[in-house]
Amino acid sequence: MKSKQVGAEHLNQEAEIGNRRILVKNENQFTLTPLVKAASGTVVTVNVKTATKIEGKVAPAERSKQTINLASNVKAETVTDYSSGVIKDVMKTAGLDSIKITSTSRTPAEQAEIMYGNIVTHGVDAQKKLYGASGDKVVDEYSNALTSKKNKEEIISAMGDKIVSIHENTPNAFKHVSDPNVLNVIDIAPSSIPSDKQKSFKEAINGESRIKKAFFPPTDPAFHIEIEQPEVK
Amino acid sequence: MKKIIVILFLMFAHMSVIAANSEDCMYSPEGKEPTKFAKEELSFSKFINENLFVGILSSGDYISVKYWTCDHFGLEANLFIPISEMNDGLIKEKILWLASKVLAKKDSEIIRLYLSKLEKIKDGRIEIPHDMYSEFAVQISSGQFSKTISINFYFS
Repeated sequence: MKSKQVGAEHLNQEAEIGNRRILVKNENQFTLTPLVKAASGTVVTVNVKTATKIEGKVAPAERSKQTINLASNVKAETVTDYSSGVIKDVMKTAGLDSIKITSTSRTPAEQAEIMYGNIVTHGVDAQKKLYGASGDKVVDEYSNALTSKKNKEEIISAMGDKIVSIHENTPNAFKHVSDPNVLNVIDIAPSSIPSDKQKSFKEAINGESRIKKAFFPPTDPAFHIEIEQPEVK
Repeated sequence: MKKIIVILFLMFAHMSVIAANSEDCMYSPEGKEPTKFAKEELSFSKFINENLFVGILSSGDYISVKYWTCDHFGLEANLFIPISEMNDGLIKEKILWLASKVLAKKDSEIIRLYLSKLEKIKDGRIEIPHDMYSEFAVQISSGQFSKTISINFYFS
C-alpha cells in the first residue's frame, strides 16, 4: 500500500494515498485523481469540510498500447473503467500488450442461468458430481423446482434466490457472484499471456495494491483477480 | 527406473498444487473425470499428489494430467512423444487417444468432431468451442526430437 500522511507541509504538493493521487490545494481542499486513469476517468475534488465533490475530465492516460480482449460471453459493462485501468497498469508493468478476459462478475441470476443451462445440457448427476456442497444446494433447488412443475424462469429465479442465501453466509463459495461496481472479479486466460511473460505478470499482480485478491497458475487454471472499486462519495 | 522418476518429478515439479478442499470450494474434487488407462498401457504411473498424475506409457510416451477443482474447475493433460516427425494422421490419433483417456466422453467427441473438420494439423493452439468451458483447447508443440500434445480446459 503506497500511502503518505498529508499535512500542512504538503500544501501545493502531490502525494499518493491508497489508489489516488492527491494534490493538496489548501487546508480545506484537495484534488483526488485516481491513479488509474481510464480515458473516461474523472478528477474528484473534495471539500474536506462539506464533503461535496466536483467532477471533471482527466487527461487520457498513456494506456493506449495495452489491449484488453473480451471472450464472446463476457459483457463489456462487467469490466469497469477502474478495473480496466488497473489491468492495463499491470500489463504495462509486465510488458504485456494484450490479454483476454474469459469471465467476470455475475449477478446471482446470471450464475443461476449458467448453472441451469449446464444442468439441462449435462444432467443433474453430472453437475452434482462437479459442484461442491454449496453448488449442490443450488442443483437441489433446480430439482425441487422442477418437481413443483415450475417453468424455466421460475426455476432460475428459485436457483438465484438460493445462490443469494448461500452467498450471504459463504461469500467465497461463488467467487464470481459480485457487483462489479463494488468488487470486480475477473478471470484472465493464461493462453493470452506468453509463457515468458507469465512470471512478470504474476509479479505485477502481486505488486498491485489495488488488486484485493489474486490466484493464478499453477494454483489455479486461470489468472483470477478481484479488484475492489473505489467508493464514490 | 529411479532416474525416470527423478526426470518426471523435475518435469512437473513446477506444477505445484495447493490442495484446497474447504467448504468454500465451488467445485468438488469428485467431479474430476478419472483417467482411463488400461494396466498394460502404463509402464509406470504415479499420483504425485491428489491433483497431479504422471506416467510413462508402454509406447514410450510420457503423460501428465493435472486437475483443478476448487475455485475453478479445470484440467491440463500433456502427452510428450519422443518422436520429431509425425504425420497428421498420427498426431490426430494421439490427440484423440489422449482425449479419450482424460476427458468425459462428450468432450472427447467434441474434439473428434472439431479435428475432423481440419484439413491440416499444425503446431500451435486449437481453440475448440464449448458450451460450458471458458477455454477448451488442444495445443501441439515441437521440440528438436519430440512433440508435445496438450489438452486443457477450465471454467468458473
